[in-house]
Amino acid sequence: MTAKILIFSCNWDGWSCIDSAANEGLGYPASVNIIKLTCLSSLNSGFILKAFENGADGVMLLGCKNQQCQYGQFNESIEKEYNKAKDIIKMLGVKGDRIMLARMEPFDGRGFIEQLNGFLHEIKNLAVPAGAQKGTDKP
Amino acid sequence: MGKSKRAAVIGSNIDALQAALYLAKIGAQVKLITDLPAFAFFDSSGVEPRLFWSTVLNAIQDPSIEFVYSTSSADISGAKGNFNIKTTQKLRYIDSDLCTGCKRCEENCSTRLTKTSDGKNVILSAVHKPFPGNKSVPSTMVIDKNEISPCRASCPLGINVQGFVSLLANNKVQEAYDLINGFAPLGGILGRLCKHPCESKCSRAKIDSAVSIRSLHRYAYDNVITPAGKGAVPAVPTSKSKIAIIGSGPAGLMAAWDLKRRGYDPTIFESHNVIGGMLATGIPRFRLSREIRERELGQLLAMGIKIRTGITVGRDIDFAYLKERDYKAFFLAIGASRNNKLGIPGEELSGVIDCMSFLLTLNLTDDVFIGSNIVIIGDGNSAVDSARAAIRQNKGSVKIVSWTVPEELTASADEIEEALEEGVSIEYSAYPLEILENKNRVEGVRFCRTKLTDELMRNGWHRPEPVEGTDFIIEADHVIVAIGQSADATQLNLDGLNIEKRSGTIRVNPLTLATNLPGVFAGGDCMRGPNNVVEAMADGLKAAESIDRYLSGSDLEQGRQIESRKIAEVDLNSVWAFPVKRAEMPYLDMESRKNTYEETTTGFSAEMVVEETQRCLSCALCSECLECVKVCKSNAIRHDDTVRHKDVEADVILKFPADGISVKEESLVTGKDGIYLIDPGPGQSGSDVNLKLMSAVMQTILDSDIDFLDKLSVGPFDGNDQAEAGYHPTHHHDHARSESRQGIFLCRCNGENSSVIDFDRLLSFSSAKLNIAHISEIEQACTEEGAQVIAERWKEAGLDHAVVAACRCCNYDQVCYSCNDRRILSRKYLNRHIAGQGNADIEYVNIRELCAWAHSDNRESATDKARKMIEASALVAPSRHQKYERQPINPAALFIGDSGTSKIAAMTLEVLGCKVFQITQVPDSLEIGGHPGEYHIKLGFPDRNEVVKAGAIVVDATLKQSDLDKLGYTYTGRLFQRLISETGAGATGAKFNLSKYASALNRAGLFVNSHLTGNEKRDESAQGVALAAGILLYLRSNWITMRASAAQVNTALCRSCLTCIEQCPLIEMREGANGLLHSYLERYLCTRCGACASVCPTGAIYLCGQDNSTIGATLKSFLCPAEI
Repeated sequence: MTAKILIFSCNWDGWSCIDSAANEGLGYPASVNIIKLTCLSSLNSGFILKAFENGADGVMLLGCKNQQCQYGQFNESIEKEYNKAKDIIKMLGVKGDRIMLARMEPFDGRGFIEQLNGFLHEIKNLAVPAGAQKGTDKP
Repeated sequence: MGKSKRAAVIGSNIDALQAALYLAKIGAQVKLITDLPAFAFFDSSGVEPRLFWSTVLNAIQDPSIEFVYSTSSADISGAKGNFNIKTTQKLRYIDSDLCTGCKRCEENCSTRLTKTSDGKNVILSAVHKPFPGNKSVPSTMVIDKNEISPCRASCPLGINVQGFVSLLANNKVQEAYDLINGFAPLGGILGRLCKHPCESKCSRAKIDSAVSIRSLHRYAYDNVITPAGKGAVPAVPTSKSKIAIIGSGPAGLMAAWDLKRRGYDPTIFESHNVIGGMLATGIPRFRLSREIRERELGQLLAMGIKIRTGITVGRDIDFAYLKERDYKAFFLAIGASRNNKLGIPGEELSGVIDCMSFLLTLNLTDDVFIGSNIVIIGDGNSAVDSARAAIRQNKGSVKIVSWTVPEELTASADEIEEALEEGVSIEYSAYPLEILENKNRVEGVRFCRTKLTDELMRNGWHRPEPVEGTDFIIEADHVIVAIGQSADATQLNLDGLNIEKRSGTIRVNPLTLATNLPGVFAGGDCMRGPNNVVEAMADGLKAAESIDRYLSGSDLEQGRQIESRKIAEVDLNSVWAFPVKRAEMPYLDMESRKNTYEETTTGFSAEMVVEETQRCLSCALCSECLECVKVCKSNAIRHDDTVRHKDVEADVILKFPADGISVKEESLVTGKDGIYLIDPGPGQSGSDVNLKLMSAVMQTILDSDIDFLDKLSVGPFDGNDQAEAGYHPTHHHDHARSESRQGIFLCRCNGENSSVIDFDRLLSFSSAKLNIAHISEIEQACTEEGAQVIAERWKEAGLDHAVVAACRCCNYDQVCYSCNDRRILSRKYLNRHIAGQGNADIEYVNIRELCAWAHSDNRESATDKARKMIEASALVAPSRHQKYERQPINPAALFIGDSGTSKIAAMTLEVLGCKVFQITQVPDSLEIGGHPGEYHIKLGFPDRNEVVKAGAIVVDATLKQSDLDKLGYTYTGRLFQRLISETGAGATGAKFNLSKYASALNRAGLFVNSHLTGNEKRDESAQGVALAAGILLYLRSNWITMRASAAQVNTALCRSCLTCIEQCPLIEMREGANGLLHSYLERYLCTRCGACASVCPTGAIYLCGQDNSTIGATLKSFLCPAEI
């Protein structure tokens, strides 16, 4: 079974990578789901934890490179929320690095797929899936 | 209200786009003339990709800009205020107004081309996106075409050879067969007997050898999946005149076929008892089997062509008889079956037979006595056929005797080779003198040797002449004379028919095939002399056309002058072809061949076809197989496109660098009144607007003396804008959202979505948690028609809101740079038809890029995913109700400060007709009230108070600190303060991204010209004009619209912890009615980054559509749909 990944993507550079990948005919497993936000800085660690609570095996945060933010955000807050979520996950005893923050150049479809595949591979190598207890693919 | 001014912008770079956008925004009607077929981003352009796409997409969606793409030349005439530009467009063979870019045509295209794009070699379909591998906007396709391919041009029947070869390359046998049949039937016969002029012209020969086109033609016929339909044309109701066709050979049959298709009533008269002419009597069965012949001819007759066999016209009946019976026109196609005689002693002996009689007998009966030593005199195909027929029953020797050398034989090389393999021997350079007799029977033939002379015969070979004294004898008990046939039109007994005396052929006008007698046409061998089946068939078609013209009274010749179309030259360097051996026709093994009359060739295998078709070089690029036309639901494909022209009218012309357009204008030099050459140089990175460009465009407007702004004073602010009056900010509902009626519309995208996603499963969508009032599919959601259909169903089902699953990603009023024209259009059309001027309450789900394309390899997963996404959207849609609020803009500007740039900007705006207030000295107090759109600025002078109302406020960054302090009484004033103090001399490191902050303020009409000054020392007047341009842009946008998803503060939850203030310079604390402090921000200014929301510990600040419950619900339906 492929790992269940939830991607939080910003509307700008992050989304442009996802869109470019599709337009270049680059696919990814259907167990990868995407939620689009205006900017990653609107995401708090609660959402990341909520994803794990609902059975995600990994959460990917897809955003722009520093200083490239459409809104002029310096991305401090996202780093903070990202680290906070990582610490909490660790505290809860979940093994492995299951949160990934990927900062992309705009329209880099191939780069997105590479990052995602690397992440999928890492998650797959972890013995116990975080989401093994909860959630199933079958409706 | 004056007519809006027309500006033509010629150019293809981002500057041209920005200028067009700028002109459009201040109220001009803009035509952008570009040489590009579409806009695409290239790294080499030096432009930031995000800036590039947001400019392109904003320009695309601006209703005041019309694009003239693919322009190769622009011819300017007229003068300022009244220019006319005649433009010429390069052909793209796609109607870009109709094409939705769904790529179905590309997927079904049968031609693969090699092309160099952006320095890389790529393989692509003949129909493709303008910049392969690169996103382009608009999303329409283009077709690559060259001139006509040589194979097609050389086919007498005009068969689209490259077309059927490319279809076979894709294993589309039925399609290939149908394509051929549209040009000419009898594929089984042509695929075996055609002399294939196409192959002799094939460009592949320049690399190795010609493609085996004839064998592929045969393959299409032999392997078509529905043999019942072979060649069948449904019987056509006959409503037109009776036509008599004399002769049932290929020429007669084709004429009958074509006339029947045209609604005539043709009858064929055939003197033999079999039909087919030479096909039946002269072609041995091992070359064309009886089954194939009968099936082919049977299908033709099944169309309703009448046939009378055993009737010789000219002997049994005459033309007067036919005319009496109401035959209105005649086609003479009696062939050339008179055997040429040797004219030597002994020709009348028993045992001497002509080849035609010999072949006829053998074809019709199986049981013929053949002697043991046979000599065939002659070296044409009939001679070889006779020899091969004879050797199948002969116990002795079969020898062909030719009068010339091996290199100059008339028969085709492959036939000779087959004959030699089968055991036929050939004697060269022998000239018959006498047939020797023994008891009235043949005993042998006396020959002498020949030598070649310099004289060339009609077929191009050297004429041999006998050499005296070289006599020799070949023993034989049978002699077959096969030295050719000739026509004999005299047997028709048609009075007055003009016949060539020497050859016996009928004289015709070669263009129309008309004889000297009215209504009588002739073609095939009786007109040409002995020739190939393909020429005869072509004559049949030509005659049918002439007869149709003759009987409908139109000119026989007009428009038929076959201009030889330019033949496509193939660039051998670009096709990456290396020599590959041509596929050769497989034969029956020798044993089976010798003793039967079975067809000796077995036809290509499927594997051979794959390899052989790959050898085609696609000379014409697009093969015109027309597969794209079949799948295009928008009818956007125009294979017969001709050069297009478009006339553009304009008051002024702005010309940017555009290499692809040749501009013709005698005095096109800088300064020509009304034509402006603009090349502002590279833009400023990181800035949304190239200020140099804005300044240049503004200068143009000022210089042109054309009153661009005559609409300004009657904008919506005065309530006079009728067009905008119907705008209603929200969609009104009669009942609570929880009981609202929700619909789901699924876009098939011409099959692009539905070929991967199982639409039947989606259509049976149901959910316990959701109340779906309507669900249906639609072919295309991004067309006006599609939107109309959705609107009708919407109304019928009484919907309040809906989910549209297509390729659009969101319902925001922004254009993010991943967007494209179809996504923009789908929203535009749906808004127009469902909500009038406002925004339709629709949630968009992108099932194309995120499901159909991302999971194209897995139908089930793609469908599951689509279902989950639709469900998630449907769940949150009712609460995600978007509010669109806006305010009219008061087109007046207040300038505070005394800098030179401000003065120039103020003057510029005044010249252009804006109301301008200027305060060079800040009064005692200055309070900014009102709201974005119209600020009320209270000025407190020692002796009086004054209120100024303006849409825009411009503050000099160079204000004295004491003056700056005076601004601190109001929220808006503090926004200015914050920005100026961060950029001022004493500023210590910016806390915020100032350019983003400044542009947020600009969007609400608040300008600080500090960011214009920067560190550069530039010309004050240029700066002033650029500042004016920015302000004008805002004032002319007429409305300030709040972003639907702007952050909102729930004051009841705010604990005034000040965390959000750290995140956003637009937020400040304010005292509420209850005396407690709470966060405040002007929602018209909010950029919706959401940073405030993410740090808010209580959830008091949230972004509409991105709040906790929405994200939570979406997340849940993605990850554990079972619980929904």
